[in-house]
Amino acid sequence: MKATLAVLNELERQGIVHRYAIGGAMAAMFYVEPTVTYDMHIFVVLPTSSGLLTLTPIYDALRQRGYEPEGECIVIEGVPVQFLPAYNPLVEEALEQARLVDVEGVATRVLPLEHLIAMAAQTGRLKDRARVQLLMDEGSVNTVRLADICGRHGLSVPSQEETP
Amino acid sequence: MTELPAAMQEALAAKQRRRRALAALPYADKLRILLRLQQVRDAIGETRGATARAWPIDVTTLFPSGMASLQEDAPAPPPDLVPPEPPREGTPPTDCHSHA
Repeated sequence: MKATLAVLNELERQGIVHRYAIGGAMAAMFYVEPTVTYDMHIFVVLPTSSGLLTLTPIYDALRQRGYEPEGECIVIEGVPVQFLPAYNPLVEEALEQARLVDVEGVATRVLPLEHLIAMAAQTGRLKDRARVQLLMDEGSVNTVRLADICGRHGLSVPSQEETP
Repeated sequence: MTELPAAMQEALAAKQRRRRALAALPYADKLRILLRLQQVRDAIGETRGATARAWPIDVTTLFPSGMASLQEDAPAPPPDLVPPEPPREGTPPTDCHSHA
């Protein structure tokens, strides 16, 4: 994990990505109880030259370091990592406001709690809705901030319910 | 809605307390739990022929600095790598470059 994050920091330092942050279940784990997951979602701001968003430079750089793709992920130091470009204004804002955290001495970024909730609500699959509920129930949510984010991005503010 | 019996309410409240205690753990400890959850799920999956997917790393690989989160006398991380208190509203993010 530490080695995986160090590789991601190196990609950013070299300008292969402009900025990255941990999202998905691995990010949710910063705020709530751990739940099982097998991959790490990394949201990235990519350098754009032609207006096209492509992950090819990331994959090329990682292949040169000996890391191989596996399905939709690329395995970095034992951890399957899925790169996801910032695909809409909500995700761009989440990346911009990502929190700096320390994982075993390695600095990294994680998407803010309220943005994670908004992004899960926006995606709206069953597992995303379950994550919204978990984050709302356990995650010490700043409801004013969440309402502001949802309002600006045209989303309904998720309600807080007790879950067994 | 029908009110639950007191014993059931207490059981649910205890479950909630457990969840909140787990949520409050350091991230490194949560990663240890995640690895164990992956192994448990794999063990179940293998009984019906599913491929194992747990990360091929163990606790010592996860915490090569000597399982710092498990040792009281473990060295603290360098001060410039310690993030500030969890930022709330209006706190600007700090750039990762200067810390990585």
